[in-house]
Amino acid sequence: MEALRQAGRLLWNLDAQLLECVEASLICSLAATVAAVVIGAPLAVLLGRRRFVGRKTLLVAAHTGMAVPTVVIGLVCYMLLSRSGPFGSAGLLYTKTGIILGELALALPIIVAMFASSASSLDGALEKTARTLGAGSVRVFLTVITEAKVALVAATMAAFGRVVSELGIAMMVGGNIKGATRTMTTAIALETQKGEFALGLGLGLVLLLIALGINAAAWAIRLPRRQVFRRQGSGQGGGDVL
Amino acid sequence: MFCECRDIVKRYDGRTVLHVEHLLLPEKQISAVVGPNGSGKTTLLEIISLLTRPDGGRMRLWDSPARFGDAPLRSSVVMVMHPGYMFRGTVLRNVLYGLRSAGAKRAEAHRRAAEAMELVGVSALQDRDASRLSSGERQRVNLARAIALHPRALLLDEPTANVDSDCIAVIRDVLMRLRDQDGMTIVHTSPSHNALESVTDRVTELGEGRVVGDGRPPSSSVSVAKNCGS
Repeated sequence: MEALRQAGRLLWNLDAQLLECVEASLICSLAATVAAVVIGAPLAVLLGRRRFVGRKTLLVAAHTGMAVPTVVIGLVCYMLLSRSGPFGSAGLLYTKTGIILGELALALPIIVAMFASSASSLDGALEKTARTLGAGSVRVFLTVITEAKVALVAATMAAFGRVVSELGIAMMVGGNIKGATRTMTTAIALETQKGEFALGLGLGLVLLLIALGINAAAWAIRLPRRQVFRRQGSGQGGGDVL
Repeated sequence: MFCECRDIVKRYDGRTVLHVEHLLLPEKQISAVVGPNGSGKTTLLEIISLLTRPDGGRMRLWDSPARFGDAPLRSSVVMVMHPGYMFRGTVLRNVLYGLRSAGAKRAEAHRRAAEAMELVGVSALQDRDASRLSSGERQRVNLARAIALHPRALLLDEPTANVDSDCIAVIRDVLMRLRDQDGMTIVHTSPSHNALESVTDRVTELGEGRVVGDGRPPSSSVSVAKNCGS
């Protein structure tokens, strides 16, 4: 209970060490998630809506990627970014950029696999209807994304939730350097090993708040559509909602 | 002349689904393409609207050679799919879709959308979720979003399928008005001679991907001449 009280005090006083870890975590996680959406959404639309040689192999690879342990991704990234590795000269090991690249490898399969599945379930007439109404290739592509936007939001939230709470990549690629690459999860692991639970608990609470915020945002995005349905439902003799 | 097709061939998986040796579709008239399911009606419409590239043959639209991917020509011909896809959101958003793709300014797009919805009688539905429409309402919204684009030619794939007689009457009146007042060229398909026959000027019959008849509708004084050109 004492550790919990101390954790509360750290949060209340906006402890500098705690904020540093939160900042590092959010920067890395947000950057990795945004990059994964930018790269993954077009790839997912391609995999979900087109038929080509190698499509199934890529889908299996994406689904497999969702199950790869973060320590394995961390290990591979470490080997690639270490001084003797192929990208060692870039000097990205033990940097936030290194963590972002590793977390991108974690988030990308989640975005691709989840969004491709939703995109493929859209009506086959979508693209043709859009083209009959004069839409060009880019507009058609954006329409597919818009039509499946709820699924994209869900995939993005799932990917962000996964990267913000991962430990293996941040530890192995980031190196848990105080003031630079120490994230919430690596700090929790370190503080627990030291027997100092207050900061760990405080950071754990922040992670819970972030999870709550993600879910609240996801619901807020869906809310206007639900409200429209409710209004129409009542106008038609109280039809069902959603 | 709106469209002239010569030796248009389309194959899917090595099977010839359409082979039109010669077909003329007149301008500023309502033409019907009738034939059983699988006779190639939809494929023919998709080729004429430059949505699908034929595997062979030549086509002229308004006396100009039609090339797949010709954007200006492409925007002059709008096809209404059957059953067509309703985009997420309201009926208004659906009707605005094509106008926004065409780069129409907001006020102009809303004005044209309102006109088109008024014409087909769906103005009252403009804030309704498009996924919750009946098949008749859906078909009229389908029509409204095509009309809003002011095309020179409107191609309708089975516009009277799965709709009630009231809706058919609305569609019939709208097509007649578009032809008579706006001089629009209209081509529609149907599995058989149907409720739009009374406003149809010319009928082309397809069978197994080939033109097997061409002429006036059966209800008119001159019936369809079997075997094209006879």
